[in-house]
Amino acid sequence: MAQKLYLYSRFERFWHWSQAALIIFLLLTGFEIHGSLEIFGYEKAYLYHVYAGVALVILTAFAIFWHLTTGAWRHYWPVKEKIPQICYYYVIGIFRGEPHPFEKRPDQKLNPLQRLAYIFLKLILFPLQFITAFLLLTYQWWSYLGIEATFRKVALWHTAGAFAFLFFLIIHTYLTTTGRPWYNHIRGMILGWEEV
Amino acid sequence: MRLAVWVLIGWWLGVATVWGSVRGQNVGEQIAAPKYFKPPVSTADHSKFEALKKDFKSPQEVTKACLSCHNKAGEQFKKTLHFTWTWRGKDGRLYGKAHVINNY
Amino acid sequence: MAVTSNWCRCTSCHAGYGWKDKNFDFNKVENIDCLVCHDTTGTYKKFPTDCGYPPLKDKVFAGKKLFKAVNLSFVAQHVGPSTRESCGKCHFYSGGGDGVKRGDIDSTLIAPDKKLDVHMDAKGLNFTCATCHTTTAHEIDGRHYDTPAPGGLALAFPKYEGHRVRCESCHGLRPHRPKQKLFDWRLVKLNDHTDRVACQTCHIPLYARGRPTNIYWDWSTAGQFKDGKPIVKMGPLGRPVYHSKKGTLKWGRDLVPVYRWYNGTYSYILPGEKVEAGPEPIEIIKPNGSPTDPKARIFPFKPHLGKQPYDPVNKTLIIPKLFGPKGSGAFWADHDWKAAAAAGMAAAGLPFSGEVTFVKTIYYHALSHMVAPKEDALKCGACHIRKGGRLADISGVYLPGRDRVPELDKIGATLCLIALCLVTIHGLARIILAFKK
Repeated sequence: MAQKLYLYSRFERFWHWSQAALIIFLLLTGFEIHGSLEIFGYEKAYLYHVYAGVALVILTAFAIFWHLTTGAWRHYWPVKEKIPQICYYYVIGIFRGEPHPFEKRPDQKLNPLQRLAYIFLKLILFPLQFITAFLLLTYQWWSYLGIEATFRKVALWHTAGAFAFLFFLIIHTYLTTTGRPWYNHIRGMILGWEEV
Repeated sequence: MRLAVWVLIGWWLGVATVWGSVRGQNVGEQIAAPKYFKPPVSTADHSKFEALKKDFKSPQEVTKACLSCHNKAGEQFKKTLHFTWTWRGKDGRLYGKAHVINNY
Repeated sequence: MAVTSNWCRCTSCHAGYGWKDKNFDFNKVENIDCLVCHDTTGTYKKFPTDCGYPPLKDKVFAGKKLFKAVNLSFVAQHVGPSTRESCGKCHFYSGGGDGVKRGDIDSTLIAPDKKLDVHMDAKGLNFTCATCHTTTAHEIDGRHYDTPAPGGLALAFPKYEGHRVRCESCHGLRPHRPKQKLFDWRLVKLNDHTDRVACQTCHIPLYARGRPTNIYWDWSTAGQFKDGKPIVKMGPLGRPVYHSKKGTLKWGRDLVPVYRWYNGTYSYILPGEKVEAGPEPIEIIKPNGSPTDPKARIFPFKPHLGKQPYDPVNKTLIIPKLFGPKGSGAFWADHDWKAAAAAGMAAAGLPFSGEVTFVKTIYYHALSHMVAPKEDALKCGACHIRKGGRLADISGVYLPGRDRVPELDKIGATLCLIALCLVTIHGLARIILAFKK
């Protein structure tokens, strides 16, 4: 019954893992700038944070281009079906050894819950972080650009976004281990081929 | 096609290495500190002035001798803070060393 | 204290001759002292108690220090532009001794190395005072009481009349520039700081780097004697910690400044002005500025704490007569604060109730000199740190690394912790079930 499907193309995998690395690095350096951690020293933490942020923006630009040109954006379009079943699966079904109610297919790689989470990430969290980061970097232009904001408030929203990313990272990392065998999803994201 | 890509990559790596080493040398070079603000060389030797070739009995005589040539200096200087120790504030109060109090 | 009633001691640093009482004639130009600034021989010195006159024959000051007779003709024939030494004759010794008052100006600036002062570095740029304190017709640039140093936030272009006394006059408003490149990303954020942080704040990391400076002066204990003899107790820094004439003193070296918002102007409490004495020191001389003042920037200061005579009835600071002969009421001769206060206030024409108490006062000195080399400048973490940073007391700005919204941090951390607990429990349950099977 085990069937191998090629789900994640080379670019998709490159994009996913470099994004993951950048986000983890941004969280570390960001929370150092915030004063919660001490790893690199403030100056280096700041510079690395900006470099990594710029890298993430460039990567995101490529990813947007890729999603639009390949039509892969459709994978993120939210659907209603099976959401209660999936919730039931993660709360109870998984412990009873029941199968996942959603079947992965090359034309629908993401389950409805993933779609919701990822589209929230892409449409809300990423723009929030990019916009607040841009504002924080250019606070001296605000008066010329007609922006009325306080540094404190913008920093607050950027920090809130960082906590949201951290929250996502914890849940997401854990859920990648819920395949069968437990490393199935992770192997799929590395090699592109996943057993279904 | 592949070969062309590798050649290009190699070419750029080479250029980058050479460029980096050249710049590295520049950075290492010690640039002598420029002496931007050398005081202007004087156009007068004060020891040659007749007005100063005197046996001055009091410092005021020296000042008079100075002012015999620098004939605007007295009027200029007597209005300055170094002489008046007085500064008329924008609020009308009198500041300056002669008027303020401190804790030394 | 004050000049009034103490003329001949204080006016030994006046660029003039004979200011011995309030009747000095400021219109007599021959009373100007040209030589004190324009001497290039280093032999011209004014005697400390002679109302601005130089010693014309050998004289001893305070029973110890010999002042040689000045050869006026020799000095007059060797005049020239001012030097660090000629300005320093007074300015290095303000407060009554080397480095006592300023904390950023002392006699080590006669020939400093680069470590002490990048601009005056005798083997490097070798600036004189007048290199920055640009002078036109004897008018010397600087901050004068309620008037900020000229030059504004502008470069020293001719249209700004060549005022060069501010850092930004030469260095501009985005002062950090890469050496070999046209542009360096790393310097962008450093340059952004100049809107709210003065250059001095990072580039004068410590003060009193040359000589020790006085940081505390309690006049109330002055006038104690041992067996009828004056007491001078020396401290570890080679400066007196008790002196019968002066009281209790504290000194410091390599000190961390305090930081305040500063718009280039100062406020003063003048003698005769009413001021309440509370538990906090009275800020007799303090910088003006607040975070909402667009001209104000964060600036380093040397705070000088003192305890000085005060009239509790009239609620005014007292001008005491310190210097004078026996019987004149001078404190240094008669050792009586009430008599000294009566004599000083009478000379100033101010009312005095006859009562003397002592109040705590504080005087802030703006630090602008002894700029350290760039490698000694403060690093980001000196201020961008949660607790104990240099700017821990500065309000009105959001300082990343120091500031946060604690509620947000709590909510965020709690949610992440809950998520972590949930996935841990979920995972453990899966592992246990897997083993059971």
